[in-house]
Amino acid sequence: MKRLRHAAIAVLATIYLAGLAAGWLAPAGYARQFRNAPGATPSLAFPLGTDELGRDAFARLLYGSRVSLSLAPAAAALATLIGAMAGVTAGYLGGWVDTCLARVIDLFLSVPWLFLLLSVRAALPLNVPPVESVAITFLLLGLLGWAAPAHVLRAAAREIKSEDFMLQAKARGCRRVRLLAMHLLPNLRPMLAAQFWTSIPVFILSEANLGFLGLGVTEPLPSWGNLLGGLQNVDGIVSSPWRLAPLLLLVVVMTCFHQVVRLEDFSK
Amino acid sequence: MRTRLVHSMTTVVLTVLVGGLIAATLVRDAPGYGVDERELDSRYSQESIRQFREPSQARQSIVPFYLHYLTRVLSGDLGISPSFHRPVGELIAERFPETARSAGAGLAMGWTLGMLAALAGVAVARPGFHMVAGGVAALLLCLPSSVLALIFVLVGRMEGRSAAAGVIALVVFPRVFRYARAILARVSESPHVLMARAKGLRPVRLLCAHVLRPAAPAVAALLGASVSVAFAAAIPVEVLCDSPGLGQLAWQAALKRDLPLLINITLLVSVFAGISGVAGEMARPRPVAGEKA
Repeated sequence: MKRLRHAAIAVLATIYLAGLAAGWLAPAGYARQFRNAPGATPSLAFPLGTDELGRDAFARLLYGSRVSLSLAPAAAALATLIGAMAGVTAGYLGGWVDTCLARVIDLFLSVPWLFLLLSVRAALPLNVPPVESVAITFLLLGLLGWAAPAHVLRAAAREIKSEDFMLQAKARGCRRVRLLAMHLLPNLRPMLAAQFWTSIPVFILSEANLGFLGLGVTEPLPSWGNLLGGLQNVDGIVSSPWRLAPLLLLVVVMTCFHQVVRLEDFSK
Repeated sequence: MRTRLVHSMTTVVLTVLVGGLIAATLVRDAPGYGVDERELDSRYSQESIRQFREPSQARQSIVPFYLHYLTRVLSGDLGISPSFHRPVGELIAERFPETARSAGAGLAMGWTLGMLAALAGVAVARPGFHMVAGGVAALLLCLPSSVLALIFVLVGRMEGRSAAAGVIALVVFPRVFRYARAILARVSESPHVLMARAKGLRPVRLLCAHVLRPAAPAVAALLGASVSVAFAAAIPVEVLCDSPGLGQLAWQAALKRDLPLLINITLLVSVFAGISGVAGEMARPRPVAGEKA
């Protein structure tokens, strides 16, 4: 099982590095239109052919991977950070602070995720430049996705708080800040890592759904969401199956993440 | 039991009230709120434009705006959709049955498939079965619901409610299967099950009476989460399967930035998910004193 996990990490690292090296691997760039070759089949010049506007599909896939694989972890880190602050504060302090924060967490958890994303995304301007749309999409994912990590971390903090070593440290006069920094947070580290890693595939899928619906990253900047959105133009998928490359890559990446994120590994 | 019900219902009501406040804030503070299209028409004088602005300026601060919104909601008036130019309540009433049917059918199919596969996993206990069922569930978890819908439309040549229900079932199935399999596997290893097996109890009876029954409340706790997942999946699924339900309406509202409509749909769906969560919570057994949750 460990070998499988290492293989998954290696595949993820390879895809991410390929995304980072997109400028070198696909020097044409994601936006350049080869007007004499729209809808071209795979060749040495265009390994995955071109789209209907003549853009290199391989370059777009690499740049899209860079966007999705760089920003989903960033959004996950933000969500975990906010979740940790809310969850640990609630679990550690207890009392009315816990009650209030638990209600807020429940509120966020009770709203179906995609409806929440859609509502907040629609409240912001839709017609924005591509780079801004990337920032908005992933910031929203990070800012709205904190409730699930907070829920888990609150429960974990409550459990650790009642452990014997915490009670002993408190009885020996250990100050609150020291208790938190030296005893609680180090014991929460595996849970924090688990929440971070489990949030990444959730955010990748959410971005893919938003992009598919035309509410994610805007063209011409590619992301897995808007690349998958291109599949809606169903004509010719059977005759040109290479157009399914973004979908295959997404499945590979998600499978790898599911292999990396085996919760039992975080409990050690 | 009654205390738990009251506590859970209070949570739902508070969720709706606070959610309503956040929703009202979103609507109120969204760029372009209160801007009348006629303001862009150069034929109107400054005096006329001032008059167009008066109704929204009268409810400038958020608290009066929220109170006004709540009063209207309590009297059954959800406002008018700016993009559809129709009452929001009417639009929701028109579309809700479609989503309820597809989500209901999808949930029923997803739960049935998930539970059957989990039960078969416990009963068969062959590595091959676990690998296949686990692999299918993992593959389905890797695909966004929009892609699943696209596959249904492309390969299955299906559209409308049946396709939407099918995709929702495929979205719900892996979650139910994984969760139920973990719980059933844990229960099937408990001492009373081993004893019953040692006494030669038939597998079907063992499964139904000694594994499924004690595991049922814990499995039912997933009900709320699965309703939430089904409604969330309804957005891309209804858009791609051309099923005229709430999901499709929410998407159209988002594209047209029709916040009053979108927020009301979100609140309605949240109430449903909240009530399902309460039902699941009621079914879940409370940890006995001294036992860890």
